[in-house]
Amino acid sequence: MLFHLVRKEILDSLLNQRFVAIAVFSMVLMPPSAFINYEYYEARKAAFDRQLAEYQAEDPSSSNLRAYRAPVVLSALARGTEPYMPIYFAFSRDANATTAGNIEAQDFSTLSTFGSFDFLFLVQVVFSLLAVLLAFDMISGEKERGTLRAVLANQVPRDSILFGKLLGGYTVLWFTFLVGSLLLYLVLGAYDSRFFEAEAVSRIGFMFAMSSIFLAGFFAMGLMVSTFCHSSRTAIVVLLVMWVVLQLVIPKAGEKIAAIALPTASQESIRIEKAGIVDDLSQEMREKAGELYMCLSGNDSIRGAFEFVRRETPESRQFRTEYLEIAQSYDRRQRDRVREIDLEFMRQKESQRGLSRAISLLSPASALTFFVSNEAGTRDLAYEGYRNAVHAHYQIIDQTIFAHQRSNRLEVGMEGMVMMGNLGAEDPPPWDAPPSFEVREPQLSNVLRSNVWAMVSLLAYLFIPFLVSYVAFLRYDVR
Amino acid sequence: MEESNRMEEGTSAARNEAPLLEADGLTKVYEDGTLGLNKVSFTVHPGEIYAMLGGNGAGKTTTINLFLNFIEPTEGEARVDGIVTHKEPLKAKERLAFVSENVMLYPNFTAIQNLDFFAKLGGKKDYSKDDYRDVLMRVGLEEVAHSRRLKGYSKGMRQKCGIAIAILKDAPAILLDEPTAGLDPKAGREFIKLLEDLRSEQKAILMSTHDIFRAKDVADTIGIMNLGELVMQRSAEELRGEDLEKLYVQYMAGYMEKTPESVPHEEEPAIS
Amino acid sequence: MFKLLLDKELKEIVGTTKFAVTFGVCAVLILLAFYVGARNYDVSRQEYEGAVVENMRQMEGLTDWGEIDHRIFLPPQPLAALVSGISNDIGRTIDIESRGELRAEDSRFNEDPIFAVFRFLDLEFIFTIVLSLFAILFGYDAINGEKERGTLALSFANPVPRDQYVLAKLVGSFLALVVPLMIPILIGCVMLPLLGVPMDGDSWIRLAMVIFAGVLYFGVFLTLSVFISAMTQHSSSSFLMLLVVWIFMVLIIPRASVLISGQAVDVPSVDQIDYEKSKYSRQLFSERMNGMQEFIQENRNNDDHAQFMADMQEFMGQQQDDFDAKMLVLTEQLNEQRNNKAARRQKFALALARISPTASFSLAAADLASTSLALRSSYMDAANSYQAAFAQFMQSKNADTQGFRFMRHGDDEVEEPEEIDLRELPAFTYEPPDVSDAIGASLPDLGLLLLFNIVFFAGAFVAFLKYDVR
Repeated sequence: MLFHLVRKEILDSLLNQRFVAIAVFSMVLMPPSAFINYEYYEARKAAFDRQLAEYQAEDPSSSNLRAYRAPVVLSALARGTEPYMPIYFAFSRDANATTAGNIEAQDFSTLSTFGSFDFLFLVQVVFSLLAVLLAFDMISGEKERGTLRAVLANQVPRDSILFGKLLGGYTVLWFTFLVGSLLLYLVLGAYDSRFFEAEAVSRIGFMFAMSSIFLAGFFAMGLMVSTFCHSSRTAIVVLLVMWVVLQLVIPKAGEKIAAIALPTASQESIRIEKAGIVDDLSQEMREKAGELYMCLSGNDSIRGAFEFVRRETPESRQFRTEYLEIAQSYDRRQRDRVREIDLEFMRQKESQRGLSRAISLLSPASALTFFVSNEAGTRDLAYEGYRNAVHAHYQIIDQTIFAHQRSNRLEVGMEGMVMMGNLGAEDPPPWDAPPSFEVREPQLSNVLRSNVWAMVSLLAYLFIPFLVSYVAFLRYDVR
Repeated sequence: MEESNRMEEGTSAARNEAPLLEADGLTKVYEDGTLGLNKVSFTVHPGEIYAMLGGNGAGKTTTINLFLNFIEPTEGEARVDGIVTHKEPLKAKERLAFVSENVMLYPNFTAIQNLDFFAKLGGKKDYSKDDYRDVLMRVGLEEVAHSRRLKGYSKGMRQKCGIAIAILKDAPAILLDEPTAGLDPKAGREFIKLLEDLRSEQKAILMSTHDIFRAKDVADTIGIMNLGELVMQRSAEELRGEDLEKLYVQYMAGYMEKTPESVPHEEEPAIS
Repeated sequence: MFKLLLDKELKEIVGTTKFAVTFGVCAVLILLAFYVGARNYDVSRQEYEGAVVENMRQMEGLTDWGEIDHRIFLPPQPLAALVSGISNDIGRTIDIESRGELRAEDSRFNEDPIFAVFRFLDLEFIFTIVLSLFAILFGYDAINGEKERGTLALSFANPVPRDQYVLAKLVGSFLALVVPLMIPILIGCVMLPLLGVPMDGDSWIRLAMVIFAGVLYFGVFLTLSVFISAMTQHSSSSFLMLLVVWIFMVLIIPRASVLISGQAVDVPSVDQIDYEKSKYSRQLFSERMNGMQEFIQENRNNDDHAQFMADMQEFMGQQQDDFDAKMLVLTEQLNEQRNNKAARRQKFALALARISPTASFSLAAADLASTSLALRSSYMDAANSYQAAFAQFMQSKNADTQGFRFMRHGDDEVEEPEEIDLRELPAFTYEPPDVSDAIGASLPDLGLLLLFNIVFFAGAFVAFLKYDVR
């Protein structure tokens, strides 16, 4: 019985000209999107390679320390944050700031505000609309036509009818999606054999699986609304409103609401705060050094400080030792305070982001975006991973290179006058090359683990509408 | 002479068998309080055509909906071959075939594809394409139409498809809701002829209609419904000499009250 | 007769649940957009003021004008909160030096790339999505729905002139939908100053024009819907057709046009240009080093130390000027080439995109709010002229030693004990492009929207005159 129902659904959909036209159209859009986005990735990669080569060709110097991150090839499927992702972070001693370097920043126009045209977009927007188009009159249409009564006049259990519709209709949709995706995949593979590697295949596989669930969810939603509305016309209106809210409003609203509910300081003001602390502490240190100098040298003027320091008298030696202690203790204080601020800021940002994500996950569209972009390595996870790695690396550099620099520097202040310079010729650095920076893209298992909620959201949007349809259809008035 | 004998035989033979369709005190009160049916009782035996006459909203369609379990009765029972429909709907539907007022099938499928689907739904999986063609011919659809999509069918053609589906199901009881509405006289006549054939195959046929003349022509029993009640039920014999039209109008206008003789009396079910 | 038809249209639309629900959703979204925009502005304002204050603060206590590290910032524009355009993509901070190319850094999206993916929920976005769908939902069965219901034949059993009928449909549905929408829009407008967004006369004019553009945009989809409704017999067909058209217009064409033009016109990226410049700069730098060596060689026997220093300073000043001039020439050349290509690509993209009324509306809105590329160019222009004033100021303070602070090792190095007075620093003020310029820039797109309206209106009219009412 179920088999016949499913078969009829499939045939009916395939004979529906409008559906076929739209389905073919959607399939056809997929390969070009792959091609275009891959070219985009290639351009970005070329720029990155060139910059990295240039950087590595220079002599390693402590004034130009950078942490690079290569663009990821899977961004061809989901561009995500790639255009805005920094290509490197530059470390600087002063103000303890790391600044981000970018490639794409200046390359845009008003039209770029429209967004990208990648696999994710096609699934999320085009195919979901297709799902809605297919499902909206599955029940209400049959009722309006009168065929529902004809079917129910037979010994067909109601749940079989519903299952038949879900399975039959979705099968057709899914096959369209499958073919389009395969075409897209083959196009990408033709350009770059990395897409055939095991890692890429498993990631793409997951993306495809989640996208399929996403589409099934929209299909189920269409079915659900069709079961509640006795007129197809009403059903499509309701579905469109739902689609707009889920796709376009909730994802954006999430961020906005989180920003309003859990505001954080801006990056700039954090930088400012840190700079302020560093300055103040530096000032204090210089005063202390000045006092020490005055005390040990007996001078009351800052001139001659350098000369004093370089002498080999016991006072001078004592000065050098004690100055180093002072300098290092202030260094530690600076570092600790700065780290405190950083951690607090990151914590705030984390909770804001957490709230924003939680709200966004109310929409299956965002859930899918999160999941797929993270799989592609073009979103939160990658970005956070990068930032964290940079941060950790900074600690290392700070403790080795910068500390070394500081130990060679003299800063003395007295009565508003400041003197600073190097103690002598700079000692050769205790390292051959700056510690190398490597950021590993988040592993597949990590991605899955941190996107559990996204998967839950997608599954919820499949099961709940279906259950609701089930219950509603059992009581559906077929007259 | 022959005709009347046949009818007599038909009916008397039918009365000795168990009824296939039974309405037993069927009452339906809708959610908003309106009374759809009020204690309606009648029977239809194998080889009998029962015609339900009545105005719009009289309760004819409600009755049929109750037999099909599209709605549930507030009181009373609708039984198909002894099976109470609202208790065992699937079992009951195995024994029912239904032709709706406006037969709408799947527009993108051909007649044969539609027949095939509904035959399988009705539990008949072994028909061949030729079987379908035969039935379509039998109901009067020419061959060229068989493989055409239903989108292009006229009303008469669609009604014929509807009855073809009922024939293929080969169920003992057939329900028809205003089957000849909107058909031209010729098509209507052909349709009725098919019903007569089905009757001779000992099917129990319950048909609701506005068409008094056809009803008088073909029905074995005629029931008149008004405002949810069965106000009159007579056999074709009893009505032979009468002006059915006049009777109908009088019942409709309420001139004639429900008289004890005009209401069916409870019949003891035959013990088999 | 016309009034009778018009009346019926109005009642038919406004009285339904469908209207109540969809209108409710639209109203909520519009108000949300206004509110969110105001909050956004707030946040940007605070960031801006914080940055300005800190910029001053970190220069306090310095005693040498040559040491200052000055930055200018782009103040938030009130209308950018409603029509964000590219305001979140461009850099807001510019490090000011007396010479050299200015670069804007630290865009909103740079700070938090995650925002960039979903972009902001602004009024323009709500308009593009919501208004168009609203129009389609009520226009798709304007004609064929009446036919399906049988009321069309019934109406025309009376002496009803066809042109009046279709006119009443168009005007009626337009009024019935636009007028109620004005309510949340006006409430939103009132909300803006209440939430602390400073709106001056010019800003109000801009906002009014944006709303006007929105109304035109709505009109395009409404007339299109009625047109298609008058071209088809079944409302299900017109609906599906309109949905496909909508997907194309709103979602696909704008994106595709950018991509297609990107393929068609090759523009060297900023990175490539930087690469050329840094290559050249390195080349020049080594030449300078050689020049300096030579100079030192020649003058090493000069006993007058102070004179030597002075000569050295002058020589290096000259070298710097030379370097700057050469770099400027190259930069201008490269930039010009790039800009030409970029302009061509932009033109191509825009031409393609303008097939879609959505793109036209977005472009018009961005022009009116001055958050189109005009924002960036006007900011850069203002920065450049400020740079000139700044350079002059620095020269007057004899602190024009940019790029080459001569460190004397081992000697006493004492700064002037006097703190500089930061109030002497010239202030940077940013003036957005003139309102009339903004309106002028938007005229082609507004004109296009108007044209769409006229064409579809005429189409609906003509199609209905020949429509089969049976």
